[in-house]
Amino acid sequence: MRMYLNKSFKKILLLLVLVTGVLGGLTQSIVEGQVVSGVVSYTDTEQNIDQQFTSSSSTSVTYTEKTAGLVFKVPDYFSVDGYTNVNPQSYVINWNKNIMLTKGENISISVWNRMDKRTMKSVYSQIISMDGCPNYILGNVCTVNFPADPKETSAYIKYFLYEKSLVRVMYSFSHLYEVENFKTIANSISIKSTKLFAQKDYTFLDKNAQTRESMIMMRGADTCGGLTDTNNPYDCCSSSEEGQNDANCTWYAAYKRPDLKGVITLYPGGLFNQAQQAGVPTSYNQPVAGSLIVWELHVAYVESVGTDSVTWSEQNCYSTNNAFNASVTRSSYTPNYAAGTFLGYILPSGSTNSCSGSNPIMTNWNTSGPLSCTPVSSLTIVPESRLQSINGDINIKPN
Amino acid sequence: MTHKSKYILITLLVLAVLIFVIGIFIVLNQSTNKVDNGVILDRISGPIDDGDKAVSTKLDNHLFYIKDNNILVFNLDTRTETKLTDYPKNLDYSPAYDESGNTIPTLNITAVKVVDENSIGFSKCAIVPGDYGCTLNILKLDTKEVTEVEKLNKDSNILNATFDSQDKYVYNFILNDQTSKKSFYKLVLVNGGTSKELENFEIEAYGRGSHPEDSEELLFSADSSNLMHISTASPRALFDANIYIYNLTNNTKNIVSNATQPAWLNNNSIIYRQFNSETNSGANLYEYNIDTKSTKKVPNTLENARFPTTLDATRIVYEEESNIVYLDLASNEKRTLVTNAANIKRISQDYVLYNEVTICNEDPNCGGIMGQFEYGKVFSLNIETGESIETSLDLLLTNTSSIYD
Repeated sequence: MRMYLNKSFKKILLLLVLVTGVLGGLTQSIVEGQVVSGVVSYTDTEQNIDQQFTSSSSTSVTYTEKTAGLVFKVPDYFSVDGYTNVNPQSYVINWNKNIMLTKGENISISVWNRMDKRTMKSVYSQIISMDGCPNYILGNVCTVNFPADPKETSAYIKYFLYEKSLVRVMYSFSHLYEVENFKTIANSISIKSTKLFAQKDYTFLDKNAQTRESMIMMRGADTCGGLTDTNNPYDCCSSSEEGQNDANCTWYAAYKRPDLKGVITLYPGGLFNQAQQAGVPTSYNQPVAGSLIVWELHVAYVESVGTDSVTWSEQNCYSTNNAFNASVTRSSYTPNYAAGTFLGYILPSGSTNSCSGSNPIMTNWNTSGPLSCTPVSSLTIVPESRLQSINGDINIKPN
Repeated sequence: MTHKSKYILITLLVLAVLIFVIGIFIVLNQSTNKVDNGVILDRISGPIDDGDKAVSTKLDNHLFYIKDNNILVFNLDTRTETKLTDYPKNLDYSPAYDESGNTIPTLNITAVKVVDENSIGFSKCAIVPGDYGCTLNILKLDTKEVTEVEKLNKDSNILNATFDSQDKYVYNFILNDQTSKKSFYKLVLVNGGTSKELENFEIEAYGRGSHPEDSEELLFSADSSNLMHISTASPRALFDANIYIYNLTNNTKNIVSNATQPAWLNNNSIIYRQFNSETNSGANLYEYNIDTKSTKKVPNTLENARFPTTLDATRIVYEEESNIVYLDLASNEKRTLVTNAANIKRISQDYVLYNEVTICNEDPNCGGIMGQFEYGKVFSLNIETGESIETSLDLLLTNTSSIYD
């Protein structure tokens, strides 16, 4: 019996062990299934970096961290190779940096590139001899490729080190066409490291690129759809890519309404809210010439208003209809379904339905209220007997 | 103890262990089903998961949408339209003032999303000069009571929102900081009253007209462990062909590049249309597995297969050649359900809605800026029989919501 009991208990124990093992295995697989290696952490962001380019030389670049007033000089081992003119239509920039970090420290790298009319060929970093390579191991080098978007690249990645590691950050990109239009808006690489900078975050700006402040000014395209506007904040859609026109509705709206630059900065649907929040007059059904007509996905400029029609001009990026390549005048397509929901009109500055200050007189009323205000230096009061109606308008009879 | 008693005791002990083991597996199985069924019963956002045959809900065949500044619901069964809110119509002009000189806000209702069988969420901006006045709100369907759950900064212009539950939701917005004169894009997760920024980066002027491959989605997975976001017209790029998948459990982000028009297929995978940045066009449907980070092409889809909509973990409908096509991913069964149709909106386990389309054939007066289609009335489509019936709805289905979104 003892033998039997022992055997039974062994079986029970074996069963329990198996059950525990299976459950343990299930638990383990669930946990592992939640771990996504080689992905971007969003617990930190690179936007807390606020450095300003102050000076540069051939061997080093000095930056000032504005918040703390800390002056930082790029060490010699951070090399900026600068532009290498491989051929008349190609530029290459390479950066290298080696950092020795120990276990428990971390390094994060962010890259921001924005250029006008260029193709980003490669932006990548390499980490040497690092445990837990996020993506793949090529020899003993762990390489992470940042996404290479033809028009713009912004990437952020963070490595947690599990052993003492020599980290080499390499950053390179090349530009392959339209040399005459080549304009670097900004290239920056931000390296945050617990080792080097004692919790401080720093951004390295390409000394050949613009400062962040000037980047804002230079952000938009100067020429779009055959028109020129050097202060336009928007980009145009490059004609170098199939299916795109060298035009953009938001660029054209800013071109036609320079008074709104600095006020409207968003996609079409968002700029209607933005105009209202900024106090720019808007209307849902009373456009006047000079208004912007806004849809959820499109914006155009009102050239004229008829008794039952509105004529506008516009640009558009991606039309399959050649009539919309650039600056054409249209008035006939169904507004709601063509470009999302119709939102309304952003009126010319000065349009208002309540009058005050130097424009005290409300004129041109409709059922919703006054449509415009008129500045006056004097006010004439006449008896009702001197009023007359001509074609529905009230006028003062001549003396 | 007799031999018999010992034998009974051992038998009982073994039975107890077996019952315990079976109990554990039942509990585990129930918890799994709870997640899947929770999609239906608690919050139907995203697809029905593996093996789950859809359970009817009282919001089947209901479509929520915005009209004239208010939220309405259309019941396909009764063919009736019900107004759920009673916001005043905007005045023609903004800024507008009342008789006392106070500013009358301009209302802008967006992001209507079904939260659960009893409520919907939405964003509302009551804009006055200097204040976007944006809030996130929950509307109880039985009482029509609206509760404000989030009030944004006066300089924050909301873009989109989606709700997992009444206290777990995500929204993104543009902050035009008047102090620093800088603008920021932010994506915020609120869970049980705690806010967490998933994205926060500085932006500059951005914006363009629409593109045929555009996509705008912000959706929790069925088990709400992941959040998927795509905005091809985002401030990141003129065409941001990336799907951002946020793992809300371990705070990581995964990026699926060269992609547009995604939909959750199940908790672990999405189906999307590939986007080629070189040619600036999309092609075919692909399936991406979050766990393995692997992508595979969906067989039997043509190059212009677009806008996949999940019916369950193995069945989808999508647009192809201006048709709505049914595809069973397991059996590869494929059939065209209806021609000249677009903007699929699933409203029950059996029905989808769609917009009838007229193909422009390069008519310059047709199709507006996109030049491809003119969208027409809304039809209901029985997926099984292929029967289409015209409804009284005259709206674009792209900005509508059902319990299956």
